[in-house]
Amino acid sequence: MMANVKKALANKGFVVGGCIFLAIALIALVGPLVWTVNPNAQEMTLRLSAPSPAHPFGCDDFGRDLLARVIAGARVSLGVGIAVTLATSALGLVIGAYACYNERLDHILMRICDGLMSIPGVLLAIALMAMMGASVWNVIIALSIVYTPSMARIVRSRAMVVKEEPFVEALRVQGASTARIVWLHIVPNVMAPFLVQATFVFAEAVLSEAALSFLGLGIKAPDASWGNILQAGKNVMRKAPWMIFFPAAAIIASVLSLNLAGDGLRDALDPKTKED
Amino acid sequence: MAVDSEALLRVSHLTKTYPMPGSGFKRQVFTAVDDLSFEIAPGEVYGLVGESGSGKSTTGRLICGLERADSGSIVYRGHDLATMSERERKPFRREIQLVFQDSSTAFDPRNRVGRILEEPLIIAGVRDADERHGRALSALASVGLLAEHYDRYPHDLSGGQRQRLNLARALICEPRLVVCDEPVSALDVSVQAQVLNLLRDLQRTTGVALLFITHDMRVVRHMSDRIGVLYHGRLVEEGAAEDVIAHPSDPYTQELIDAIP
Repeated sequence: MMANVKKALANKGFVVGGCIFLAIALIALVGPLVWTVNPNAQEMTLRLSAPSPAHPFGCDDFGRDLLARVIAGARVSLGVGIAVTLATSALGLVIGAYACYNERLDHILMRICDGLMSIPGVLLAIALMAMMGASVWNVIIALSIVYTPSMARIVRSRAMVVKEEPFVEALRVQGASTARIVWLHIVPNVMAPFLVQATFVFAEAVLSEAALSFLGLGIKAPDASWGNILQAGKNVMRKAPWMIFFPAAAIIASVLSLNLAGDGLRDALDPKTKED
Repeated sequence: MAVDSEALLRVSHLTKTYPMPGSGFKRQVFTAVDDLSFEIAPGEVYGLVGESGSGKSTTGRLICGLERADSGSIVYRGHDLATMSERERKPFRREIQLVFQDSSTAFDPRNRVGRILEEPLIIAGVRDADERHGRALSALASVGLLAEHYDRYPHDLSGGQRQRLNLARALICEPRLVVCDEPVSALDVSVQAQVLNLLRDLQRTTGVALLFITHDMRVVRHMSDRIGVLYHGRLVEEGAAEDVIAHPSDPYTQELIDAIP
């Protein structure tokens, strides 16, 4: 375990991506305490005003401070990302680990996963959002449904390999219960691909939340989200390009840093790169 | 049938088949173990010899309950393990243990030696952590490992040390029968003898019965009281170790003996 941590910290991509992402997370966390402007306060005289010392990111079409809105959007986007990652991780682990221990359950769960995975992710999310209505909680539920199958698949495929290892057979010979084998021996041994997938799910959830909000199916105005700031900005793209630039930069930075960290983590945890 | 009442394990008419890959609609099967019958007395070392693919490992796995037999019985101290449900079998699990050939995959790579030895005790219901610790240390000592190995990971140990750990783990719950599946064939020749002598000593002091599975006639002669020779899943010859090697009655046994360099 410690060896893996060391290996991950030696990986440039993981460190750079991780640092950028931590910086974004820190801004989301303490930003509103430092930049105390109300993200929803309208000042019509400042409508679409360009970036200035008083409003570093400029103002939007209602004269609201864009920096405050991007920070508020970061809280929403990263919050949704964290919630979706936690939900898919928990569901994916349980489904994946138990599917490999019960053939009938495996068939049922994997066919459901196949069905869900055959529909493009964003399309499925849109359909679910249309059914449930726009709200933060529904975004989290919809995206969790969309990303759980891929997580379950990855956990299952690795768990299938671990399950056939002689040490698991040794535990069976000792009389270990299925729960003991699954939770104390299989789950810890699927952690590497699981953590890598979790970072990718996080990135995709941030991106999809932005897409849903952009389409008006996610976070509702006046609450800020990177997606709905972009949506408002697209109508005034020529007059006020900063309305597109800053939320887009925030999305790109967070998704890119997460993918970078995930790639680095995958390289670091890949058993093929292990020297022992 | 005086032998029957004495037998620790009596395998009768054991058969195990596997579907052949790619046989399509014909449903061809490969018979790994074919109507196999033999007995092991308490404290006896029974050598099961045969080339690879002769069904000897499958026999071991059937006895340990890692596979289900198609037909036949595995009667252990009067109870038929072959027809038992998983739940019924549980109390018998710790009495029959298995030593694997490949010690590099026989342990959870995330567990330290101490945990590896204590887990069977936890499963067996030994609640007292101090007792588990003490038994793990004495198990280490009994196989010639040191107390300092307790905090190591299995991949920090050499192949010979890992196989000693394998023996320690199999014996820690005081089983009555240990199935040793080619326990030394993955080791260097110089280390093989050490591990075999250790196994022989442990067998004598604990009085555990061994089902010793190997393809190597030299090893089986060194270890076993009785030998069964397996050929294509069938027992072609059985008898006291010295008799079988001195006067083989089956041509296949002769071949195996001739293969000794």
